[in-house]
Amino acid sequence: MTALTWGLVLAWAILVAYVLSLANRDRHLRREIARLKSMIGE
Amino acid sequence: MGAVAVDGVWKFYGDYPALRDVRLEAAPGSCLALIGRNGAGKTTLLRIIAGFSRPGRGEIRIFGNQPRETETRRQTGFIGHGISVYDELSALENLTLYGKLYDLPDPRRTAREWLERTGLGRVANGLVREFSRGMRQRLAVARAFLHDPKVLLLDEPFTALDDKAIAVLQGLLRDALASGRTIVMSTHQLREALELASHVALLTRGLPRRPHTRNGERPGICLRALRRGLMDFFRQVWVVAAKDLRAELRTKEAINSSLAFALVILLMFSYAFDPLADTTREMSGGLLWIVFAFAGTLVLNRSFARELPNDCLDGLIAAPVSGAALFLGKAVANFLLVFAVQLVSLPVFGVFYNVPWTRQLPELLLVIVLGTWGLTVVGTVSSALTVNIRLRELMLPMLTYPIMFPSLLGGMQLTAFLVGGNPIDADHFGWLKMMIGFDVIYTGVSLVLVETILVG
Amino acid sequence: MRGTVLNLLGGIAIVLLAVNHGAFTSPREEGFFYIPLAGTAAISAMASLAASLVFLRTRNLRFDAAAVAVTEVGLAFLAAAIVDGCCLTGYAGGKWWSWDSGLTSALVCWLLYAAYLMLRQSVEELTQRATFAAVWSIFAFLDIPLVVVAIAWWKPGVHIPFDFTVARLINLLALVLIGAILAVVRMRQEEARRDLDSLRRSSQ
Repeated sequence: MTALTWGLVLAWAILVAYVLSLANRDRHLRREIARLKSMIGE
Repeated sequence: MGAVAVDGVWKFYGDYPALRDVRLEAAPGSCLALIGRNGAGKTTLLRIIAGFSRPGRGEIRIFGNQPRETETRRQTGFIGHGISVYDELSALENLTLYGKLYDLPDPRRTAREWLERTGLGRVANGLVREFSRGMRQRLAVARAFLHDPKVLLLDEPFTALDDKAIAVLQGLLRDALASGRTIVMSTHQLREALELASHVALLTRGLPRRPHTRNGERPGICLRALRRGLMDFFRQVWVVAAKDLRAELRTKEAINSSLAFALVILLMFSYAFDPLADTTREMSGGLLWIVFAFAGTLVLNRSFARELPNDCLDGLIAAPVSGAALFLGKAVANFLLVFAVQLVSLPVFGVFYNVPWTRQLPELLLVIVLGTWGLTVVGTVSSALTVNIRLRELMLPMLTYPIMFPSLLGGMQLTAFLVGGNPIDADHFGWLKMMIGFDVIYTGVSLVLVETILVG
Repeated sequence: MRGTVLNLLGGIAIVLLAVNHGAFTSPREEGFFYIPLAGTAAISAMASLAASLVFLRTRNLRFDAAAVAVTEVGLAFLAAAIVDGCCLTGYAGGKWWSWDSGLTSALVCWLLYAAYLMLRQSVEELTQRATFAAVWSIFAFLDIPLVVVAIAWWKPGVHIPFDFTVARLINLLALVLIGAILAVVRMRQEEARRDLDSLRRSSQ
């Protein structure tokens, strides 16, 4: 692979990593909301 | 018109309402005691009335004016949880400082009178750090009453007072009420409060609403007022700067560590570069400004941090000093301290690295002044932002250095050029303009935004 | 409704990118992706400034959520731009970091806005965090032109000129759409986090 292609691949990798981190944060938030709902429900 | 009118005030921390639709009024000459459980918002409400923060909704009027107006602050005295006096200054110096901030005609004489009145006359020249807790509390009382305020805002004033201090404070409060002053206080000590209070307010939702009139007058602007305004502004700047300089020169904490740090960095660079090689001269601009920036951070870190002990920042914010004057005063003091460190570092650098720094000395000093002013302005704002946050010492450099990049680059380029014996030419004049532009932009923006940082 | 719009925008972005990447597989012009990434980051910085100014005016925390969302997304795009630019200069000149003025400016701007995020993390109270962050966003944005000019004077010579060909414009449009979608998602997360903190405090 040429350096040009490497640049493209790595740039996309960073963007994908960011999207995955957003998804991970989303998962954590849903878990916390569910936990709080059950606490308040008790 | 009530002396203190709170009309539909809400205060949010995020989405959480710490105060909900609070409505109350204190008539002139009355004493209103705020009662409520812990977390009811008594301190929050008092701090909003005193102008330390803004309500999310609703409004506060003190004799018809906004709490943050200069005239309102001149007429208001505040005792909070902290005593708002400086440990490094004497009792007399502290009260004289506040006398100057409140623009009293003879601050020193008034300070002495209040020290006598609160039983601190014999220790007027003693440093506050040597005082007992009771003495410090009495000094805080003197500070709050010094400028003869029409409205007194007291947050749990009897807490942690010894018997002597309680007696002094009760006497002063009775005298104040007898002479028509208005008091709003929050307290858990119901006995002391009810001895003085003419009204009691339980902090909860939906307090009775009393009508109040707005002050619809707009101040006229004339040249004389503008000139007096500018003179007052620069007087306040100097009072704040002088206070910081006096405190620092007494302890020399920041300046000594800054000088030592500069020396350490200069020595450490000699491990990486041959200090006597000619090529090092090309790097001299960069080396010198790294020393200046790193060593300067130690001074800048102390800037607002020195206001933390005893809640001194509250005292400054409560005083009739604009946020801009407070910021500029601190920036001037920081500049002078950092510049002093640089004036010592520069010849040491010249000696260690065999750099002819005296060849274009006036231009070099101009470049150092411009770069240091930029560093000081940005660093002082960073200090204000980071004063109450975690990892303050780490955050200040993280905030300051990236912003400083253009000015530091200009300083480095010009310094390297000047120590080579060259006067500033047309090619390099652009860097000078860059540094001046940076200083103007960031000084202006800081003066506009600092009130938002301090008060919200 | 909002979800449908976001999906539609995402679909358009993917189509644009796929067509553009396919059309330019070989040879690929330099700056094909680097310039649009940097352009998207620049648009994010402007959006962050606008949101911060509106927050300071209105004190509505929605605008603070918007500001942090676009800043974070912008930082991700700028990081991608820096890495892509690094590879481009390595390809062209054999040096991985040529101190190209555009690339160096991008790095300094990245540090400016990384400091913004670090400041937010250090302030506990929500309204104070929003206020301080808004102030710092203004400071950071004002520095951008100064940084670009200073570095251009210091290291004249841009290896990859900042201009827009058709291919770059198409990529820019696609990346702005993607950036907008990510910003909306991030903004929703920020508001949910705030609601959560508020619920937690009320329940105590």
